[in-house]
Amino acid sequence: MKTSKREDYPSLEKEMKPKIDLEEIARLLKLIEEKNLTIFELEIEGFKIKISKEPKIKAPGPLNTWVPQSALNNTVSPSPVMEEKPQPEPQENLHYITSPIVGTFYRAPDPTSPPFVEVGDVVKKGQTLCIIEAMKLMNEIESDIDGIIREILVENGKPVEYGQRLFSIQPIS
Amino acid sequence: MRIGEKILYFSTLSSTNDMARQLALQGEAEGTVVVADEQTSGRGTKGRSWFSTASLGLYASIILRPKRPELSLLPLAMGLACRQTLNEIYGLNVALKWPNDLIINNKKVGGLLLESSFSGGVPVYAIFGLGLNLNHGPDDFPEELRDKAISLRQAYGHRVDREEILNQLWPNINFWYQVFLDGQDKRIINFFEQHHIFSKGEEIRIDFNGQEIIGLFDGLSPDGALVIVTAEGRKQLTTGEVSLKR
Repeated sequence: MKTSKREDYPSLEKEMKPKIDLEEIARLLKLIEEKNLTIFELEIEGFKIKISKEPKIKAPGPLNTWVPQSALNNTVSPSPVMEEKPQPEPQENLHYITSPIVGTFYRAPDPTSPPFVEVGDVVKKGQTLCIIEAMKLMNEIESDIDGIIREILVENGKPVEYGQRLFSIQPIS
Repeated sequence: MRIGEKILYFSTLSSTNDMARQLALQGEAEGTVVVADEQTSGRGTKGRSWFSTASLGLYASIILRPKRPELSLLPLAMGLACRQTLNEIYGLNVALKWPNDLIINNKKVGGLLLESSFSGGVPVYAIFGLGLNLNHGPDDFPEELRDKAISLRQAYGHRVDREEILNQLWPNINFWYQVFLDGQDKRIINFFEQHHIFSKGEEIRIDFNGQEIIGLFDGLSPDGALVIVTAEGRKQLTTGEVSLKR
């Protein structure tokens, strides 16, 4: 077994007593996908994988063609388009991150950790900015652009509404 | 892929949710399940630890990629699947406590933790984590949990089998996940209220970020928020710890 890549996953290394690392698991999963196996079992020390797919004879079930009701009858859309509406004071092309749900806004992953971001931080697309909790569902909100955090518009622990602005980001092009 | 067709078993993980999230970030498909015998830093909500002893509990996380933008009813639907499974196998009367606890005899037998990641207002993935107390004896819980926690073995009177529970869980999870995706929200709300530990009209106390709210439980709103009638009027809460006022 190849182990040289373990240092790529320092946080996982100590927990992964099994003699297999995340990369190997990922490769294994890809291989299984490619071979389109319906039954597969592998067991090594500390790790086991079990696949038992139903053969693909049945007509595929209804695909998840969910039409978001909120998108149909709600004029507030969290899509980047809404950010183009005129601002009271002309800001230099600020991009707004809005809340996709109603919930409670948290700036840190837990009460003892530092905030995900501060004003002035450079953020990358895909970087987590905050958590919005609703029904004990922890929703991490990512930045959808590269940029600099200009404002944090909600206080930690406060409730937020659907579509409410959370952060303004100055895009870096 | 249907949930439970592909299961990865680990002897030890820091947390099954973290491993599932790592795999999701690497592109792993919806439906893959991560199971661990033991979690070294199992998590509850808001970073609280979840007591996870080797081989006494069931610790599993599922990668979901819901094609539905709002997920507020997903935790409730998943709770219904878990409740139904334990009822079917053991005939136990398992109640749900809003929003994410599984309760037997007023004690917690399990909990759900959902974590999702949104980008541009759309969920990229969601991880559904389940922790169940299986075969704990009275001495297996730390002292501070003994009044609050119960295992299935304690409730059922015999040891229980993790694989049996998992095998029965997948069809129920797939069923309720589809109900959620299909937008059958009323069905989820109705079933949840029906199996909820408090009935409408009961006086409850909610710890809302340190603030205490007392009022009468009035069921759930269409998006799964808890409705409470207080002296100041009706309120809808999306977060908070609920207990019966005694």
